[in-house]
Amino acid sequence: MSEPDSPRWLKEVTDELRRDVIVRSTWRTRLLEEVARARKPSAHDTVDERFDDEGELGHQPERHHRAITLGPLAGLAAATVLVALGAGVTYMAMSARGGGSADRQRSVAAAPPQLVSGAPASSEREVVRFELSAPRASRVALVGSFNEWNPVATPLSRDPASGKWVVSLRLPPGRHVYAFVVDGDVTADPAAPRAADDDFGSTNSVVLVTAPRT
Amino acid sequence: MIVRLLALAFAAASITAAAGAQAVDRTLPAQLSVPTRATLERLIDSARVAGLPIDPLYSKVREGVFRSADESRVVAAVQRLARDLGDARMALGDSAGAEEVTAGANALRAGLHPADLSRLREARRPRSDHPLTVALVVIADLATRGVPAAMAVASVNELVTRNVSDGSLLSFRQNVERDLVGGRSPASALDARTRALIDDERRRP
Amino acid sequence: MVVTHPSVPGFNLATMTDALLVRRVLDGDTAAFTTLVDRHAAACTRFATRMLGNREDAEDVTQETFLRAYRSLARYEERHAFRTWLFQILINRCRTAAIRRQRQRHMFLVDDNAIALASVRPVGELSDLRAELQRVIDALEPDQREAFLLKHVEQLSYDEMAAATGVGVSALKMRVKRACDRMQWLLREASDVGT
Repeated sequence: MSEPDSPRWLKEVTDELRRDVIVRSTWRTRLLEEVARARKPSAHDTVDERFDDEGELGHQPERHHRAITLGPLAGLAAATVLVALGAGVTYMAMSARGGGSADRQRSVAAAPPQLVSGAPASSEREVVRFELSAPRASRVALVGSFNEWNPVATPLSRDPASGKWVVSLRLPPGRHVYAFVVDGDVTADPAAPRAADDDFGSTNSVVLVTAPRT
Repeated sequence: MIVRLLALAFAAASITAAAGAQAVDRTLPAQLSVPTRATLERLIDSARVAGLPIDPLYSKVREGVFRSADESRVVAAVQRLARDLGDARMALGDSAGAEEVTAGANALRAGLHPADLSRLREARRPRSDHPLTVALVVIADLATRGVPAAMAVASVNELVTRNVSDGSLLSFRQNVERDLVGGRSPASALDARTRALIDDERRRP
Repeated sequence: MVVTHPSVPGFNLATMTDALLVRRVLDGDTAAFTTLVDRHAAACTRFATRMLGNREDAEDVTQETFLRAYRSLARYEERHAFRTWLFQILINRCRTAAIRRQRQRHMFLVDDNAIALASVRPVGELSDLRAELQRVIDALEPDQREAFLLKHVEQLSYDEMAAATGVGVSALKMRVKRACDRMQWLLREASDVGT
């Protein structure tokens, strides 16, 4: 891509954006079927016919009734959402054909956000054993979502019998993400399922912990 | 309480979504600059207000700090995760627990489309309300190993439709991985292992 | 593709103007609408995809647009180009869809720089030009994005844009300029981060 300072950048960008889009035949068929089902338009249609903007063509917006719970920062978050919608609200004011934009504004602002439910937290933990075969390593540690990715919090030690590096931890039920640090290098657990996000350069492993049966 | 040792970090049976189980430190590390922390706080609070699991967001920040990532990269990662969590929540529905939504977000990251998540949910729902967490973890894992996401989804969808247990899904994943390492193509590995599992299920009384 | 009306040999819908096709539809010839769809669907899908950021939403919105156009065809006035009128409907559908999505999906928006930087390709991630461009487009404010796409991608004149959006020409010019400035900045940031 050329240096963005010249107008050539605009040409490259627009050339790419103007590339032909393929209209899927399934989409086209569906549309034409709907057209065939619809009432035929005629020059004598009354111009008064209005479309209600929401839900007219089978797109019923989901209506959730949510309780509003205000945490200390929730006010700020609501303000953020409103500010973020500022552009959108202006949009609507300009496109409004006959009333309703003010109402919509209000309903958007009032769309109640929901806090995570107050279900009692399970404090039961399971003991989970982590193992890694690394015969030439001198230091192995465990890092993950359960220890704030702290490389000194959970060192492994060598099991004299198997020669493997091991540690056992109590973990709460759920999905946890982790990796091993072997002499300074971060590595996934070769025996575990992998997480798909590699935001920081390498993949992590996943451990799923069951709740204890009582 | 019975203490059980799980070998090699696998879950053997069902997972319950422990809503609100606070495994994670919900403060932002002091290593981050004040403006970044402010940005992250607003992001995470928006997510919280939207009813999304926020522990994964805090973890993502901690991971970024651990890996000495640029602050802009940490923000980008958290924003991306927040968006994926939101999409996963939409696709999986309000009754999906935190773990399921988080696994769903990861599956989206692996290349699934929100519609795939909805379809998985539809596949499971007639028979049970059991979370899709394991199914989603399996799909995400296979996708990172070179199995095309669409293929992984199709196979797991078939298994979910047949109400295969979480334990069997995890073994299935392990077997496919083994086959891939052995040089088998994703298509043939998936096909063979899916068929085998379905046959096993049929023979079960 | 040549479309011939079954009952009239040699009759060729493909050569008719949009206005003429509309009149035929109002007279009862549904096949003429198919021709209109085939002429304009690609441009609509393209605009909607860029505007909304994903193909699925774009297809839904384009579908709605054509159905609405069909049902309100009597309201089309020939002083405007058919595409302009169609885009007016499409633009409104896109705006509604975006607002509905915002409500449902809780977009995580913070200050401008965070958005801009978050839109930038993270180091190490492979992304093709198209994905990167979409990210840059997504980072624009909706009204700037809309104006930019109409002017530079769909290549409407400012007068047509004014008719389709209900916004004045000078305001539209300002939005296009701002969009270009911002895109330049974002693309420059992206190429810096990549080094």
